[in-house]
Amino acid sequence: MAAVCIRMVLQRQLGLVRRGLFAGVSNRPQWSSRSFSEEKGTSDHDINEESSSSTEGQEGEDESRFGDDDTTFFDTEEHEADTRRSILNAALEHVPEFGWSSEAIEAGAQTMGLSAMAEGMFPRGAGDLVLHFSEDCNIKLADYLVSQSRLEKDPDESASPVRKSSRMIICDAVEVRLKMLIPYIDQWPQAMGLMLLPQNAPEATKNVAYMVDEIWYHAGDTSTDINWYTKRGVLAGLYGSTELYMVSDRSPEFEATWSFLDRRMSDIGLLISAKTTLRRLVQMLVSYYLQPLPQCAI
Amino acid sequence: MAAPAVRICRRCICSQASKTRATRPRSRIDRIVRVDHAGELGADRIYAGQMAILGRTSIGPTIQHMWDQEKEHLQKFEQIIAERRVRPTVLVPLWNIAGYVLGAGTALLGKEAAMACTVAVEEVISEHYDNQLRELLSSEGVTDENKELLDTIQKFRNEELEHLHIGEENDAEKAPMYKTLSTAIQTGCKAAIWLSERI
Repeated sequence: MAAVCIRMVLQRQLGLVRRGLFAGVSNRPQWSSRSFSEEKGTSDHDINEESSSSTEGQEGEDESRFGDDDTTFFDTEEHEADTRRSILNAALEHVPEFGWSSEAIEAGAQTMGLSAMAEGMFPRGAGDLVLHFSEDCNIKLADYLVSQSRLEKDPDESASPVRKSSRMIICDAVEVRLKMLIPYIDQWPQAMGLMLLPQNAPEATKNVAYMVDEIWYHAGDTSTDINWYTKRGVLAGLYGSTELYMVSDRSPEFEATWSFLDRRMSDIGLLISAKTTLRRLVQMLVSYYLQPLPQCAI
Repeated sequence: MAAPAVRICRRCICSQASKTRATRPRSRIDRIVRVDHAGELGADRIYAGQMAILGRTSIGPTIQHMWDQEKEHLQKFEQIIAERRVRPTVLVPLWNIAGYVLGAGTALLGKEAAMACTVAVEEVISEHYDNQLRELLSSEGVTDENKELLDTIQKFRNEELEHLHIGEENDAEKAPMYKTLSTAIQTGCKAAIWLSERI
């Protein structure tokens, strides 16, 4: 009898913890245990007790979580990623208030009806928030670029009768990407700092690499030699410097930033023409120096 | 005591799920295309080096024929790289120079040494293509996505084998120090393949 009582209490508490972490999230997976249906009736204020309940009866709870229930825990990896994304999206709204910080994530979790403890899902804290934001912007940018190039291919669309030059595509893409930062511009220097931290830098670099690759691809770059690297490097540098300029820009509508970007774009324009110029030069030199060689060698 | 343990465990589990959506999980195909592009570039440069020395001799047209095929291969892989958005290897400039030096160097040792170089290189490359075909077929089978790549590799493998036979017919084995020369070249090629797959 006592054993049954203890089991019931444990199940109840486990149910509460789960509710605390995952309640309010769409497409909730089918949990195997019955505790969910049992706990359906509990009112919302139970969620706030989650932190206290998780400290009580710790030992038994750990066992059941990592014992018989761990299969469900790992089965729902996809679901967990969804939860993380929605928490971070909600947290973004609190960034102007709290800055890029764990507090913003906590506030985001709370707006979603979760416990502030859900912040523990993000081992890098504010870093995860910044990286999520920049990744999200990159995906939006990719979608934008795809829709732009589709618009271009469509001959009926009279919006862009002439094919845009690479330079215009790049300039446009960088501008669109930078405009995504405007809502957070006051806190952005903090985010730039967070991205430089050792634990965040590798993924931040990956995000930038993904972004510049996306832009160059849609600008019609087909280089397969060292140019591939220099082009991406130059564009990453251009983006970084314009971003730095932008955070200190106080002009209305960031006009000074766009003209700065326009000036920097002339570097890229040079690079695009450099390949053809260089090839012509090398061909000329090779034909000049190697032509007499066959006769004198043999 | 238990509370930090729970937190650490939870964090470990959570960090497993932190995969970015932006990364593309096609690393196998990427690696194959990258190394093949590097290989064809090297081959193209080797024949360019040989042609620079032996272009006006009796063997010239044969080398030119092989070179033309290699140019076609290189063009095809450049196209695939752009289509599939594969990162080319960082070592492109190095293979560019090394290939040319190898081709011109062996050609300076004479026509037989040049053919010995061709035989050694093509042997490694065709073997490598075979391994790739096996890897692709055993792991993925023929799918719509990799069918074109499989056909391309197969066609190029056959042409590389044809070059191998041309080399053997043209007295490759009569080259000075044939065994040493071909072992050295093959080791170099394998090292190049290993590097190009990775960086």
